[in-house]
Amino acid sequence: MLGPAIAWYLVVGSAIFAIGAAGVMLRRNPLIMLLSLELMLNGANLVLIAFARRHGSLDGQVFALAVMAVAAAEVVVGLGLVVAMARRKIEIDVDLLSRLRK
Amino acid sequence: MIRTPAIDWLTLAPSLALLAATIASLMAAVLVPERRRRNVSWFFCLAGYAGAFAAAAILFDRSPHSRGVIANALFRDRYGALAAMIVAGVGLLTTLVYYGERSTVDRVGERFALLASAGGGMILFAQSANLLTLFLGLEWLSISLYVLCALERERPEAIEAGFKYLIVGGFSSAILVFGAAFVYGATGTLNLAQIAGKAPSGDLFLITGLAMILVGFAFKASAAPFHTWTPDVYQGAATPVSGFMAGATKAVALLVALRVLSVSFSAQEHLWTSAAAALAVTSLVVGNLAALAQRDLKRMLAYSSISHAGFLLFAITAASSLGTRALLYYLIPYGAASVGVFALAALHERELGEPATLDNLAGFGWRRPLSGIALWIFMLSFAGFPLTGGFVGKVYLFAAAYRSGWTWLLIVGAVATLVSLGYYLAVVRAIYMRPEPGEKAAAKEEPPLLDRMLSTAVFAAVIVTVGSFFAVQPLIDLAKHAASQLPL
Amino acid sequence: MLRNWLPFLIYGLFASGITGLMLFISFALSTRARTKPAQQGLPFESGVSTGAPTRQRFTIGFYLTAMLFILFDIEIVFLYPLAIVLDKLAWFGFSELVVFVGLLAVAYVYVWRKGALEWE
Repeated sequence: MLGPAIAWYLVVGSAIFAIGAAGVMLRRNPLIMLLSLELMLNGANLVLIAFARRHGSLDGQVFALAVMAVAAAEVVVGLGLVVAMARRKIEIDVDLLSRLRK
Repeated sequence: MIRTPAIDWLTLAPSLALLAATIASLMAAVLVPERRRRNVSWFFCLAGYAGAFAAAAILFDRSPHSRGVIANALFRDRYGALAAMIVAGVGLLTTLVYYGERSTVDRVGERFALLASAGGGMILFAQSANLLTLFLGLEWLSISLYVLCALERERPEAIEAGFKYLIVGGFSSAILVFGAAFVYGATGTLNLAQIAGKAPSGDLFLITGLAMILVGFAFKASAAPFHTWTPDVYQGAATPVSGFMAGATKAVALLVALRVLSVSFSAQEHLWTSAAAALAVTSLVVGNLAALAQRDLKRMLAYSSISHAGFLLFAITAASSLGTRALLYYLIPYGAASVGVFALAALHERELGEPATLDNLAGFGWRRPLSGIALWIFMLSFAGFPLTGGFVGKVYLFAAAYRSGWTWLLIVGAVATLVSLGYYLAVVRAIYMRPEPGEKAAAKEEPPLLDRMLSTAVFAAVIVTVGSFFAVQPLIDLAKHAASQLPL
Repeated sequence: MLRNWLPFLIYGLFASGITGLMLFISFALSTRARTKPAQQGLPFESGVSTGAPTRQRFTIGFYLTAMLFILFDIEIVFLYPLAIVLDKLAWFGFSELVVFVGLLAVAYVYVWRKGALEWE
């Protein structure tokens, strides 16, 4: 097999996932949060593809394709909401999104 | 040549009916003249749910043995079929309630398309037999619901609710995918049935994957401590949609969780039963205590649904055939009562033009005696009083937990039930209070709104809630047939 | 050892090269002032222009088109693997393709009738 051992892929994938998770939890800008969500999914994708390679089966790769398409759909809905918030001049800062918590 | 899978159309029929309904009402939303848009889109959505219910009933009848179909992507079994029937039933009632909800003309059709779409995703999710279809079903339903929440973008609360739901929902899906990736890594398969026994039961990757999948499900079922989005989303979304989420989303999340855990992770049973017990206790504590403090009706109901997630988790904790039966049975009156109570909240909001709170509910029971009684019944069913299905359901769940040796869980459950009386009865008391003089006198002078669709839905919900108490045996039989197809 | 890491090295060079190029191009072709005039941070003074508005605003149409592009673009991802095996899947594969493209067409009709493709 060409390239480094699978463990490295897992480390990188998990690191990307963890950075994304931290981003969603810590950052307060909606766009950065959406970006971090994408990171999480891409970390998972890398792990899926690495395992698919190890098992020599295509299932993981097909899963990764599906995740990519779904992630795009999700982020488009998210961006649409951000644009809607910007147009209505709702604060783009999740800490201030507290109209609901009276 | 690649061997192509045989398509089992009957298994696909319930979700296909709703997919067709989605397409039809979406097209109606742009192609039909504005005047008739609402009616046409609404009709397609209603027809889709009715069709899905009928198809699921036929599927239930014709699937005496569980098997994987379409290249093992979906299960053809009674468990999935009964879940589809519950979703379709809740969706049907929600469609009726949603008809009269105010909306601007440029979104009057889309909401029915999205409602049908969410139902289709739920059914695919409930039938899924591998991790990929499971993920696709989950995202199909989730993305529809994100948009549905934020649809009324005139209200800032709706956009907020949609965005929060999207972030939290996306977060939980990502965790679930990551977990699925590790399960795949440990076993080399995405097929739920084949996952079991492929790896040693203590395999680190497998356990990591299991834990993350469990967290993903807990978010979707809004079990504490993964519940924080629930009150905001239920409060911000259109009221009928909140009812749909409480009744259907939670139901499929728990049903699929139980299926995945029992089919794929039977070797790790001791792990996930303990985890489910911990989730159940936190949900009961958090849900009940927070519900006591709420004045906003929808927020209170959101916390009540969190506490219900706790009760329903008893079934997963029990990990027995009896528990599965109890879960399936309980979801029937619970789903009906959820739609019913949110329908009444919607009715009240439409009359007042502002969110329903325990304070402005005063006089509701005198102004609308029948709706008042219906609200009574739903509250008593939530609390688990006799003469309602909620009573039988709770007894069943408690019995299942007891039979599996979770005696201390019963004590927590009993205390939680007592506490829950505090806020359920507060609603009943509130609607028979005299309104404050001068406050909202306007609402009293106007003749009560007559919404035939909404009344029909509430009436049907009452019938199911009460009927499930009197017609226990047939429903238990249904649940028994479905439960026997899980390896528990 | 080195042989194992060579693909990674090439990949890394490509990745940093492309990002670097993109950053450089946007920097080189940007029409904004290189250095912020000091007045820009100040509130408006009557009669005196304080320079270009600090925040560049795009029209909503730009976002809408960009988002629709992402959506339809990413769906192509499913057509590549299908294209490779389409001859082996024969009519089954073709009907799958038709269903998939048909669903996209429904979305397209919706977007088009909704007027989201018109540039205002």
